[in-house]
Parts: sequence; C-alpha cells; structure tokens
Amino acid sequence: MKRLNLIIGLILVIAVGAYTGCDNKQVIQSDSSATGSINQQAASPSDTKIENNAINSIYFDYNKYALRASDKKILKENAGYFLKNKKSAILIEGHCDERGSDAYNMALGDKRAKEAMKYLVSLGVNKKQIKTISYGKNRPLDNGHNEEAWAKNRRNNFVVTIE
Amino acid sequence: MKIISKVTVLVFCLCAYLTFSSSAAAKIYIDIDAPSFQQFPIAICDLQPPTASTEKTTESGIAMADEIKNYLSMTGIFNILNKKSFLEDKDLSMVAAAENIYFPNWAMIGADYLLRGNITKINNEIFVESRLYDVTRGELLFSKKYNSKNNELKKVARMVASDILFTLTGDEGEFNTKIAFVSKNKSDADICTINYDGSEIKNVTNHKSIVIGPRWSPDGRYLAFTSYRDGRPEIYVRDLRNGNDKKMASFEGLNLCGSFSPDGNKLLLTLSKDGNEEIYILEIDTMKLKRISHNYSIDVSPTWSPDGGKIAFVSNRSGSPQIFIMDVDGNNTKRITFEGNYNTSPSWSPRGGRIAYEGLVNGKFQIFSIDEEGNNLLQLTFDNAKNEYPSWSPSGRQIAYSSKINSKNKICIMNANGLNIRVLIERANSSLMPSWSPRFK
Repeated sequence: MKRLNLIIGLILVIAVGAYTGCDNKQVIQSDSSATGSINQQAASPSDTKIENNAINSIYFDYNKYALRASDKKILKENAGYFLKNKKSAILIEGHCDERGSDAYNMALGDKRAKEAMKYLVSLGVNKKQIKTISYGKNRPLDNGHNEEAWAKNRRNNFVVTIE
Repeated sequence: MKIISKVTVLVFCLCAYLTFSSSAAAKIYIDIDAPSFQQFPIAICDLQPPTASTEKTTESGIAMADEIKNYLSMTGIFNILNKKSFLEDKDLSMVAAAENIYFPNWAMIGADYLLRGNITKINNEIFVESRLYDVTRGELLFSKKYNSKNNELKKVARMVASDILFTLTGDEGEFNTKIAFVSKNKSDADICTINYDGSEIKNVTNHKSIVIGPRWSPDGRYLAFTSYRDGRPEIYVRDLRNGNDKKMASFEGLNLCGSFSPDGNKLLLTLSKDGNEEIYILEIDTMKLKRISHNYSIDVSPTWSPDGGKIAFVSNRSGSPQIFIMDVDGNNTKRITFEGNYNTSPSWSPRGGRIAYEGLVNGKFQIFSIDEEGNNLLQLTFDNAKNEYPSWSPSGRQIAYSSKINSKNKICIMNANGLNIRVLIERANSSLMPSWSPRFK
C-alpha cells in the first residue's frame, strides 16, 4: 500500500513537472488593467501576465473603423515589437461603445480589428501570426455612459502570447 | 307614447327572436389594419350561475370575467367597457338567453359587442358557457362550452378570449405564443422565453457568455442564435424538444445569426470569412452555403420577407447604417431608410408590407416602421427610454421591443401603430433582443 502511494506520488510529481515545463507562455495585453478591464478571457489563469510598455491599444472615432494618424503611429510601434518577436501569436480584439445594435457593433468591431491587421501586414508582420475577434459592445473598458467612457471603449486591444 | 315604445320593444324582440333562432356562428372580418380602425368596444358581463340556479353572481364568475378582460386587453384591439356603466340590471342578466337581452341598452353605452356567460364549479372542475353577441345587429355570434378539471380559470379565460378574437378578426391572435429574449447579467448572457401573457419565464440556454439575436424556426421547435461559449462568435441551433445545441456555423471571423426562411429550410447568416461582413444563405439539411451580398462595407442583420422572396438587412455602404432590401439572389438592392443616420435591427411584418427597425433620433433609439418601398415612415415610440430590437407578432398586429431607462430593463409590447404599450417583463438584468415565436399548436 505504501509503495503504491509512493508510485502515485512520483507520477504526480512528474506530471506537474511536465505541465509547468511546457508552460512558459507569457501573455501581454495592450488594454491597461488599471482602467478596470473585464476582458480577461484571452488569458488563461496559468498564463503569466507581464508589465506591458511595448504594445498599446488604438482608438476609433464613433461608428468608424478608419485608422487615425495617431493610431498608425502606435501600430508602427506595435509592429516593431511583433517583428522582433516573430514567434508571438497576436490576437486583435475589436471593441465598440455601447450605442447601437449588438449585431451592427459586432460587424463594426470585426472591421476595426481587420483594419489594424491589414496595416500590420502592410508593415511586414506575418499574417499567420495574427487572428482577429470582435466583441462588439460586450466588453467595455469603462462602464460609464458618456463620451469619455465611449471613447475609451472604441478600441483594438492586442493580446500577445509569446512562447 | 308609452304604447308606441311598448310596441317598438315588442317588434324588436320579435325580430331578435327570429334572427337568433336562425343564427349560426357567423364570422365577421373587420379590417383592423384600416387607419380608421379604433378598437372593438366590448362589454363583458360577470359570468352568472346557471339559469336554473337561484344563486347570485359568484366570486368565480367575477374572476372569470376579469381574466377574460385581461386577455382581451393584451391584444391591444379591444376597448373594454367599465361594468359600472352597464344599464342592465345584474339580476336580469341571470337568464342570459338572447331574447332577454335588450340590445339598445348596450348600444347606448357604446358597446358593439357583448359577452355573457355562466359558470358552475363542481368540486375542482369548472364548467363555463360563453355567448358573444353583436350588439348593433342584435345577433348571437357564438355560444360555446368550456371546462377545466383543475379549476384553471386563466386557461379557460384564454380560450374564451381566443374565440372572441377569432370570431372578430379571423385569426387566433398571439395567445399561444412566447417571446424569446437575451437576459444579460454583467458580461454573461443567456436566452430566456416568456409567455405572451407574461407568465412562465424559462431559461433556455446555459452558455454564460456573449449570446445574441435569438430567432425562432417557423415551426417553433428551434431557436438559432450567436454565442461566444467556445471563445468566439459561432452560430448554434437549439432544439427545444430535447435541449440539444447544434453548431451551425463556425467559420474564421464573425459568425452572426439571421432569420430562418419562411419554409424553415434555410438560415440567413452574416459571415466575415471572406474578408468583409457579408450575407449568406445556409441550407440547413445540406449545410450548403451561398453568398448573396458582395460589398466592401458592413452587411449585417438579414431578415427574410414573409413570402420568402426578399431580404432586408443593414448596410453602411452609403456611409451610415441604413436598412436595405434585396432579392434572395442578391439582386435589386435598394435602400429604404433615408431619415436619420443610424438605422438598424430590421424586422419584417409577417403580413408583409412593413419593416420595423430602430433608429437614432435626438440621441435616443426609437422604434419606427416603414413600407417596403421606403414610404409611409412611422415613428412608434417617443419616450426617453432606449427602445430597440423590434419583433413582430405572428398576426402582425403587435410589436415587441426592449426598452431601457436607467436601471429599468423592460420588454414591451405595443400595437403596430405604437399605441397600447404593455410591459411584458421588467427586471434589473438587461433584457434584450426579444424575438416573437410563431403560434404553437
């Protein structure tokens, strides 16, 4: 009986070792957590989140998905990071403010994420590294109902997983 | 003078007797869509004990009449007269045979229709007889018997109301329908259903995720919807008989659910797998996919016309989101909304002809309807709430929509002309995207 316990214990140790051994993923997000983001879905609990200065979110005008000049500047900086970390997997999340129908905002978020993707690809980032997802108006950063909150919510968040 | 009036009454009674003796339950069709239509003024008498009985009006007779009134008022097309205005003496109405009704007394108070009936309760079983009269013509329209073994007052009242509605309009109305909606608690959502009379709120899904846009199949067996349960937007169809979900579309990018075709064989989708958000038709049996929109812009929220020939959808191809119509093959695309710069969520009236949608006016979303040609625009809601997601009733006489103001989340039902608003449900949780079921058998 004791032996059996020992064996089970040994197997467990090996299993845990193997698990942690392959889990050195790092996930960084461009949305700052200080603003009370509820968008934690992309990061699994075992992922380590590191302090992020390298990647920044971009913001959009109301009901628009065209990139602002200031956004393009940020995207260039982000692209610089992605080009240095070629093994990183990039998820671009398109988000909208709370106004308008759910379905239309889903499409709007999809457009926003794709606009950023196209621009990154034009800067040389490998398209295979990038995935997009729209959350429409369902994952606001700021739950306020005013222009200040809306402006923060009309954004692309970049979730980068580095192996 | 007295003699003349006596003679008049006698003649009237004779006429009435002759008419009633030959009257079969005649159907009357009144065009309730006509702009001139107001409401059916109807007098509902408290149900009485059976003729032979000497009892006075019982509590159950009053309760039954109240329930019938309640159901009729839900339809939005009845003006239920206050029983205090009734001229006829209550005791006289005990014997409710037609020939004993003095119709001018009912015409005098403005009633076009009169409902009388009897109720008996034996142990736990109720027996009801109801008779509907046309006051103007002095005719019996129907006389029907109902019973319920378990004292189900509401159920019987609903059957009586349904028979009245059928006799006057030629359809069964919405008594046997449900409304599906999305219930959202913070960031988790699921689909619920509620009966037309506000009873029986049921949870349908347990995805605890982003869930949007439930749509009923025409037979009422399935609900199609979009859910992020597995981390991204995919389309599911829930079989309500066994509770099983089937994933219908899970392409790269956006998968958004539109409406079923009127024959139930196809489903409209919005997919972004080819780059832009485009509209597709999915053949359910073969899973064959056909793309029908080809535009660089957003094309979303497709909904089928009741004849199956056309599709209404939202596109921002002219700059702002507007409602468009196209043929099912994607041809003859035509913009129909030109007022306002944010018009979405189209819903096609089951009778055809009109499309309801939500539009932004003075910073508030309101419900509108417009005809297929883009004419005869009507604003239907005007209050300070956020009024969104219109969905027509099967008869096309009513529209359900969500209405949010501050922390009050309501689903309301109004007549297609915007009048007679009834709150179906009000809760602290967000209650959004109502979708009206077909009639259940």
